Amino acid sequence: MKDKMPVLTRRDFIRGTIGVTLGASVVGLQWPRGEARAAATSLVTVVRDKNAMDSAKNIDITVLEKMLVETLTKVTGQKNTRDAWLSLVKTDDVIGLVPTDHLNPTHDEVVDVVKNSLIDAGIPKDRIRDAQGGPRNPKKCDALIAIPGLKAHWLTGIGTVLKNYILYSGSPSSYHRSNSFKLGEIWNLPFVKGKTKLVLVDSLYPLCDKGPQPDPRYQWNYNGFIAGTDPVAVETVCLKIITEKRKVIRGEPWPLSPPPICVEAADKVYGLGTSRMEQIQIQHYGWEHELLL
Amino acid sequence: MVKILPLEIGAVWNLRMDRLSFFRSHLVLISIYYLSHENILDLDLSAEAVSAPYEFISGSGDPKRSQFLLVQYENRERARQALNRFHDAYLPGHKKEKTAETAADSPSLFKLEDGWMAYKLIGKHIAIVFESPDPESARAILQKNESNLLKKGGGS
Repeated sequence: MKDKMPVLTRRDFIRGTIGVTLGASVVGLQWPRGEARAAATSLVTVVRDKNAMDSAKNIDITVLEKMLVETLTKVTGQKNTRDAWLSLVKTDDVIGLVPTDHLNPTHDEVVDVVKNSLIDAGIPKDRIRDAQGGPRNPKKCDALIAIPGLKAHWLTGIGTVLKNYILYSGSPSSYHRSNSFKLGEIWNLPFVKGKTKLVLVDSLYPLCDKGPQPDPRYQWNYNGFIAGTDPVAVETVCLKIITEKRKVIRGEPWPLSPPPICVEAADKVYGLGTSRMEQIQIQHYGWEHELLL
Repeated sequence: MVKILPLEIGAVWNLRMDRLSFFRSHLVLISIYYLSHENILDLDLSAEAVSAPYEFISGSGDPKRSQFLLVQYENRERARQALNRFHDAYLPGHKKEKTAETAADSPSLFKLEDGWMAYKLIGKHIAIVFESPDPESARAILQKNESNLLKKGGGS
């Protein structure tokens, strides 16, 4: 008899048993993977500058460059950008940059700043490519730098880090609605697994509701980079920021709906990182206004 | 359907008019009040539904909130089937206190993780209350809405 997927409901989410409910049905009895990592801590940096983007959405490249330097050195613990990059990638790696390419896309300026920074660090220009798109793209790369835009998503709750690789699956529609919990499995595909060296979220102008289509009612200048090497931890911090902003907008709790089940599943089912705030060390630098953390 | 909703219940529960939503699709419902990614209430274009939060202002602490949901189907049979489907999906560990066919008099009540839940089949309608702080509140919200619905001839 064919196994039926369990019907996930609000109750699973409230109980925090998404992983339990889905774990056995998706990956048999591999559920304890997440538990083995329980003592680990993941670092997520939040670097902001009031002047990164103005109210007319003009971006100051010089400020972005400084924010990137701060991000790279804090994430890696290295003294300068070159050492930081070379602790993440090798000079002979083919490096794929993976921005969000449509519907609240990653700002081109952010991608350019990252690319130029890699070149300055000694990575040959011809070894840096845009790797967003179908599964052929990551197959050609040795290392990936995920550069998604921060946004809510009406089908998956949040549509930022984990969802950024959805086209690598070759079947993006298979990962919407209740199947969005499986987004983590894309990161474990043989040609993707282990390649992501840095997750750098463009949070200059996030969207906290009605995404991925832009809606200015729910967008604001956060003027930040959120970064780390643990994709789930970075997504969890992004989620916290979006959730807190929604609360500010309404003046009362306004939970994301649908709940972003992919985040907990990425941790507890797919073992990609931690979604537990107590296991995430957040370091923030720069502009303090409405930090939302 | 929106006109059926009482603005006040027992002088303590107030309808949050600014959070009222009308919808027909479960894809809209999940962005208003998440129950499931699946269509566990069997909604389609022949159905009409309202989501109506009621708020209890106690004067101290955070206000309590109960979520009321009223769905109108094409006919009573569709409503009965939908209620059975909802129960099976949302309350898999709970025995049906009554079958949907016999739930004519009093609502079915359940203590869940986020508070008390009550549902009732009223003619071709399903009325459900979520997150009530106690069974009395759940029952009161359901009964007042049912009373309004019957007064306006919506019970058949």
